[in-house]
Amino acid sequence: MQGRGNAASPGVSLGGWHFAAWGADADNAPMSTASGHRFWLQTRLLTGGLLAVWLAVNLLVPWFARDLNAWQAFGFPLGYWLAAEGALLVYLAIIVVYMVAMDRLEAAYLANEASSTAGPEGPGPESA
Amino acid sequence: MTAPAGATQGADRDFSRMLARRYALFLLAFFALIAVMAVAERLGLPRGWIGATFLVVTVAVYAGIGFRCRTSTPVEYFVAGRRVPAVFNGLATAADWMSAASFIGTAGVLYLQGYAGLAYILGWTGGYCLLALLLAPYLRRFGEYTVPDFLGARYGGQLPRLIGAAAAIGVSFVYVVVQIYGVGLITSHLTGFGFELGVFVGLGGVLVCSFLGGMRAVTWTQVAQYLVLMVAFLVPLTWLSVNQTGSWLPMLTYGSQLERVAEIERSLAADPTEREVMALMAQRAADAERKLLDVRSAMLDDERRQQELIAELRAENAPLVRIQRAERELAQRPRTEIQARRLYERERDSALARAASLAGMPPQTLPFAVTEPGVNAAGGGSDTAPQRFDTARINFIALVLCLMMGTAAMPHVLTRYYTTPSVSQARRSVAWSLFFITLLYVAAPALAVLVKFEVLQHVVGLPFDELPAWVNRWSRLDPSLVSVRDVNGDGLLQFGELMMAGDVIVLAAPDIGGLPYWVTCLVAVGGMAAALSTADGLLLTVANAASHDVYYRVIKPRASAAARVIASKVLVMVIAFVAALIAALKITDILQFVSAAFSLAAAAFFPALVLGIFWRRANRAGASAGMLAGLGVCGWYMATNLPLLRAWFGITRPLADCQWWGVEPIAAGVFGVPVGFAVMVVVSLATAPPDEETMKFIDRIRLPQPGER
Repeated sequence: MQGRGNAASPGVSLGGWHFAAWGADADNAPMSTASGHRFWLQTRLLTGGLLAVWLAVNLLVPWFARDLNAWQAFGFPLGYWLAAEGALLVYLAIIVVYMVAMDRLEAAYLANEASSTAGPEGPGPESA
Repeated sequence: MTAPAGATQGADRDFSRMLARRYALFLLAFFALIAVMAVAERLGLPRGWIGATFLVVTVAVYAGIGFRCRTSTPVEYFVAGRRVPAVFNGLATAADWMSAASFIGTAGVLYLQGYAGLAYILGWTGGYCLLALLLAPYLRRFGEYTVPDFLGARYGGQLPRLIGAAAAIGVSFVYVVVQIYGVGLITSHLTGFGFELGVFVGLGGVLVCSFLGGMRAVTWTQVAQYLVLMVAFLVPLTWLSVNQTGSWLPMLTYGSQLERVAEIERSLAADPTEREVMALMAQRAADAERKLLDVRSAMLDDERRQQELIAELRAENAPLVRIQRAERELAQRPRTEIQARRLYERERDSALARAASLAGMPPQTLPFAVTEPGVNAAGGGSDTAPQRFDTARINFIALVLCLMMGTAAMPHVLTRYYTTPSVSQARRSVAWSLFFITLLYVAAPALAVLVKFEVLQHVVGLPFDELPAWVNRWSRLDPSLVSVRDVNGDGLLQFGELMMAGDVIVLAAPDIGGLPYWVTCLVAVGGMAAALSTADGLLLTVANAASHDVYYRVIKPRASAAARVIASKVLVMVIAFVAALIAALKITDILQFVSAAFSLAAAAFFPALVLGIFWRRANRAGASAGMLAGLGVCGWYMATNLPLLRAWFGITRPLADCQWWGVEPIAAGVFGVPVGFAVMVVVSLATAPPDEETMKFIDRIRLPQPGER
C-alpha cells in the first residue's frame, strides 16, 4: 500500500498503518499520471459540491415548509410548490450540470493523455 | 428495433432516428385507437368491449415487440447489446421505474395525506441525483451484466457477490409479486374475469415481453409502455383541468384550484353538520374501545344484533340486496377472539381518525399537520403538539432520504445503465430518465388536487339518493375502496361520511370528473403498462441474479453462453409462475413489504457500491460485513415495528419502545445505511487492504479509458 502510494503521488500518501491510509486514501491513488490525479480530484470536487446542493434541498425544503408557505410562488404556497415541483427542477439541474461538466472534464483528460504533454488545460468544475 | 451490431457514430444516429420514427408511429396508432374507441362508445359499443379491446390491442403490441426482439446472445439478452441511445434508455428506465404504485398510488397518497405525500415525489426523483453522480457512470465503465457482478469484481471472492445476489433477488421478488397483483386487479377490472384468472392473463403479458428477448425485448417494450402510461395519465388530468379552469397546462396552473380547495376545507372545518359527524365518529370509537374491554361478550352481542337485523329486514320485506348484505356480514363475522380484537381495533382506529376534521385528512397544502386526536385519545392534548410536529418533520426527511438511497440502489434500475453505448451516454441517460419521471411526478399532485376539488365541490352536500353513479359502482365493487354512510342521518353527504381509498383516486378520476367511459379504460391500460413494465424489469433482475451470479459465476463457471441464456429464460418462467401463485393468494399485507423494499435495497447496496468506487481502502471483509450489518439493522427495525412482522415473531414490547426517535419502519434505511457505512469502514480498516489487482480495477473504473467516447 505505502510503496504504491508513494510512487504515484509523493507527499500525499502516508505510510504506516491503515488509519493513515483512510485519511490519505483520496490521493494515494496509484493512477498512472498526474493528470489522472487531477481528473479524479476535479471529479470529486464536482460530485461533492453538487451533492451538497442536493442535501441542502432535501433538508431545508421540508424542514422549513410551513414557514415558506407564507410566501407565494406561481400561484402556489411556496413551501408546497418547492416540494411538489421546485426541488424536482433542482434535481434535474444538478444532473444536467454534472453531465455537461463531466463530459468536458473527460474530454480534457483524454486529450491530455493522448498528447501526454505536461500542462493539461482542462476546465475546472467551476466552469460548468 | 433491430439494428446492426457494433454500430458506429453515424449508424448510432440512424438507429436513433429509426427508433424515433417507429415510436412516433406507435404513438399515432395509439391515438388512433383512442379515437376509434371514443367514437365506438358514442355509437353504443358495450363497455366490456371497449375495455377488452384496449387491453388486447396494447398487450398484443407489447407481445409483438417482445417477439421481434427474441435473442439468445448473452450481450443482447442481458444488456440489450449495449446500444440503447440515452433518450430511449431514459424512457425505458422511466417505465421500468414507475410501477403500478407510482401510477395508481402516488396521487392517492397525495389526496389522502396532502403535503406528507410529497415525500414520495421527492424521494423517487431526488434518488436519481445519487444514481447519476455516484453510481451509473462507474457501473457503465465497468461494463458487465449485473450489480452483483460489480461487487464480485471489486471485492473479489464469492461472499459479496452472493450477498448482493440474495439481496437483489429478495428485494425484486417481493416487488414483482405486487406488480403481478396489480396486473391481476386491473385485468379483472377491465374484462370482468375473476382475479385469479386476471393474474394469469397478466402473467402471460409479462412473459411474452421478457421470456424470448431478455433485456433487449424488455427495453423496447418499456419505451412503448412509457408512452402509453404517460398518455393515460395526462388525458384525464388535462381534461379535468380544462373543465375546471380552462387551462391546458394543469401542472403550471393548478395553484388556483389548490387555493379553492383550501377555502372549501376551511369552511368545512367550521361546518356544523361535519362537526356532528365527527362527534358521532368519536362516539363510535368509544364504543369500539368498550368492546375491546370484553371482546368475548361483544362478539356475542354483535352476532345477536346482526341476527335481529336480518329478521327485521325479512319481516318488513326489505329489498333482497340488503338482506343478502346483512347475511354476508353475519357470515363474515370474526370467529376467534383474536380476529374480533383486531376488527374492533381497526374500527376504533378508523373511527378515531374520522373523528378529526376533514375525515382525518390534513388540509392539502399544510405541511406536517398535527391533527388533534379524537376524543380521549391517549397522549392527546396540545402540549405534545410541537413535539409531534418535529417528529413529523423528521419522519418526512427520513423517508425522503431512504427512498432516495433505495432508488439509487434498486438493482433493476442500476442494470439499465449497463445498456447504453458509452459512459457519457449513461450520464445523459440518467438526465433523460429523471426528466421523463418528473413529467409524471409533477402531474400526480395536480391530479390529486383536481380530484379533491371535484369531490368537495360537486359531491359533498348532495342528497344520498342523488349521488353520482361512480360512488355506487365502486362501493359495490369493494366497500374498502369507496363507501358512504349517512352517519348523522340528515340525508345529505358530509365529507366525513365519504370514505375513499387512495387506490381509487387515479382509477376513478375519469368517473369522478364525469368523463366518458373510454377514459376510464385508458387509465386502466396505463396502470397496466406501468405494472407490466416494472414487472418485466424486476423479473429479469431476479432471473439474472440467479442464473448469472449464482449459477454461472459460482456453481458452474464454465457454462457456455447459450447455457447461461437458457438458464435465465427457464428461471424467468419459474419465478414468474411462483410470483403469480403468491399474488393469486391475495395477501394484501404484502404492501408493507414493498415499502420496506426500498430500505432493504438501500442498506444492502448503497454503502458497498459507493465506497467500492470512492474509497480505495474498502475491502471484501468490510463490504460483506457492512452489507450484512445494514440489512440486519433494517431487518431488525422492521421486525420490531411492522405490525405483520411483529405478529409473526410474537413481539410484545410496546411499539413506542421499539421506535428510535419516532421514525416509522418504512424509513428503516436511515439507520441501516449509516450502520452499513460505519461497519464497512471499521472492518475494512481492521483487515488487510485490497490487493494490487483491485487497485488497478479501481483506476479503470474512475478514469475515462482511451477510445471510450
